[in-house]
Amino acid sequence: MNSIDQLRFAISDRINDGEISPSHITLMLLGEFQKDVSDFLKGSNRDVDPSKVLVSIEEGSLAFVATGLLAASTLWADLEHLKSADSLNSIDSKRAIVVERWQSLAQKNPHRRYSVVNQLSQILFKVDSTSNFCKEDSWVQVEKYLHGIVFDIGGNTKANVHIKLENGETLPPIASTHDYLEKYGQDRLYRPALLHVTAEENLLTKELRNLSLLAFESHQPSYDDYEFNIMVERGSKAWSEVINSSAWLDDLRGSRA
Amino acid sequence: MKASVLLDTSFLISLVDRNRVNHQTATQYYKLLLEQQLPIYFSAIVAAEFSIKQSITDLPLKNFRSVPFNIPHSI
Repeated sequence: MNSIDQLRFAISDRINDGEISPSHITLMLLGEFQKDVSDFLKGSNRDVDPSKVLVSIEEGSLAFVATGLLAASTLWADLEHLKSADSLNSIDSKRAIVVERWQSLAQKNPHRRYSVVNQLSQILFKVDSTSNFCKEDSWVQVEKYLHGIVFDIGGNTKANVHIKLENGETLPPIASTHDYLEKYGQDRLYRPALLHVTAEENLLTKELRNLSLLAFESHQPSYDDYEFNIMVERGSKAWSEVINSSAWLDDLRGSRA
Repeated sequence: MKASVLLDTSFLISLVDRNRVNHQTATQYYKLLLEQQLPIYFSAIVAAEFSIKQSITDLPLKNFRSVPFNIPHSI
């Protein structure tokens, strides 16, 4: 087996005054750790297919040893990045989320430790209460128009809109108010909609968060001969002094001397 | 995924000015896009260029999908 074909993910903690091990672990913690390891291996691009990764569960304290990782190029590149604490911006966003989650848990519990080790027993990175993996703030405020199908709307305590975009992507809930949805949100369920929203967008991952509905917009494109003719009448006058529109635009954009 | 188009300023000038060489072609494309119900995107940058000579309110804005200019577009 190649030395870069295998990784050992270990978690250490104490439960009821005993070190966790394959024979002493809660079902929930086992499930969470299994999911974290799976998410880390997959990354955003499914660099690794978890259904094809063989795992053995070992002592010390509890470890998953995953094999068959040779072709996972971004995984190994990210592990190289993780040697540096300021690496979370440089690695796959899904893997960064796992590391952040481990760090958050370890900071709340000094017994909790995670490590990832290769087949040569070299520690590739570890997370404990002293870890300081950090990420630059890469979120900016944006305004967007979103087109999709509303698949849930309203709510008892929080009034929000759930939308599936035309590309199949499902966004986080879009916050609104009870008053607005009562007035403008009726008869929109399972129908196409155009939503004008504000949000925060991650410059690195393009992920959106903290979405807020400004308005449902009307959008029913259609050709109108009368309107078109008025537009052309006005446009033909407005642009009459511009002989060469390409040259005019080049000048405007500063690309001509 | 459904096809879509992003309007550029040259296309809009050809569409609105009957004296442009490509006016008929632009008109045919415009009608076809609406007939096929293909999304037509209209960016804030194009709006800024076009409005130097003509108000964008002359355009059939209800047929376009607005693309606001955000920080991620600048990098």
